[in-house]
Amino acid sequence: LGRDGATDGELVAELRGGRPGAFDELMRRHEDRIFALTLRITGNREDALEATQETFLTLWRKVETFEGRSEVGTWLYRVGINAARDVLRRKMRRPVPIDHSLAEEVTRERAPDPAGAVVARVDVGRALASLPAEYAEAVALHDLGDLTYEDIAAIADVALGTVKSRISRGRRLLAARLERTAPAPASKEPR
Amino acid sequence: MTRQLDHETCSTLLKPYVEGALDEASAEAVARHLGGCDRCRSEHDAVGALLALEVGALTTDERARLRDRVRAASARPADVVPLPTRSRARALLGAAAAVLVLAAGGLYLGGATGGGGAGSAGGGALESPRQRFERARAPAETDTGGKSSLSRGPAPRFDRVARLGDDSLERLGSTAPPLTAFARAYRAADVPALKDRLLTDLERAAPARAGEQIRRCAGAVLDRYTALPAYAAVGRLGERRVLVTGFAWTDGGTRLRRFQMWAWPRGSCASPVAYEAGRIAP
Repeated sequence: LGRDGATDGELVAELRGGRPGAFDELMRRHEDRIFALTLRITGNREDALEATQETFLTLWRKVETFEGRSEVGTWLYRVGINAARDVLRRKMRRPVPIDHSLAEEVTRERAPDPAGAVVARVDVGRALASLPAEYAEAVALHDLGDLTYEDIAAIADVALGTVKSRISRGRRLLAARLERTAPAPASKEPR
Repeated sequence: MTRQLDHETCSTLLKPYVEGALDEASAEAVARHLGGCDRCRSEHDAVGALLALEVGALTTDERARLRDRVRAASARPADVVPLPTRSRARALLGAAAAVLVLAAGGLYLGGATGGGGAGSAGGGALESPRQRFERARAPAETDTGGKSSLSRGPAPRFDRVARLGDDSLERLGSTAPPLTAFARAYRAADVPALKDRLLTDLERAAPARAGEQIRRCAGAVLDRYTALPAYAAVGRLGERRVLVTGFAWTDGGTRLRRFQMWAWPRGSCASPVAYEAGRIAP
């Protein structure tokens, strides 16, 4: 039907009106970004898929609640962050699954110690997800989602100063938690 | 340029600083501030950890799985009426009969190929069977697809539509009307996107030969009208073995307002042997 020319806002209106293909088009446009975001938070591709799925199901079920205070993509980002947090929260009691594809990627591109890098990566996501919601959301939206302070203030419906404060405080909390969970060099087990 | 930064300004510059996106003077100012500020250095470390979390995009397989899962979850909520299986066919056929009786409040009788007429839109007691039939079969008021589909494909013929006899209905049994639950579950559904999927589900759930007929008969209806295939079942209508296909129709939006039931002789989609339509209860 050639929905390429429609704006996200128009597609949302069409989705509300039951127009064909609007939902599919919105998903096509945003699925990669939402997946990338949720993968960063969860550190696991299956978890990220689950969170991305939840994000779009939320769009499907709650499109009526989208008030248009922000861009659709921004709104989805926010939903995605919370979905990723929920996924992690549900899995907190389970062992952290090691994503082998992620391990390979880390081995290839980033770290000399793939296992340690994977754990560290998962830790960052978990630490972020464990922050109080308003901090986690603000930090993730800005540092992972590239949203401006003004955008975040608009979608969270808070003052700009509050957003700055949340991001600053959230980052420091995150750093403290990462520091606490980082293995000390002396404790490294002999191979 | 020697610029002194306060915590707040430094904080807002940390992300572009870590990304290397600041101009030289600003980067220098941030670096100088970080050198003497534990608080902002802590923030800097967090930003660095977050920005190191770069990972790949969806693979082709993941994208397909994601879309399938979203489609399935959005199209088939938990309370949707299950599609028929062999063991459920009789019960659902009974349910179909119940819908015909309960929702329509009367059944169409006899060959309805005439000119129609000005039936009342509400389908009240003054409306004749023929008027009701013509109103129900007219696609204009419910065809939301915007396609001029009336000229497409072989149209089912209506000249041998017959009444669903009371005896037959009794024999078929009765259960709760399935389309009420169906409408509730699919109220917000993207109708056209669901159509083919539902038809495929019906086809798969049915015994092999019935599945083939469902595809042909329901497909012929769906080629002409924008409706959702709601269910299908096989059974007997009097002495005749029939396939019943049920459709839900929208009001031009996403709400399902009407149902249609078509009973076909087994193995043939040339002409339905019985037919009924009515409003779906909200």
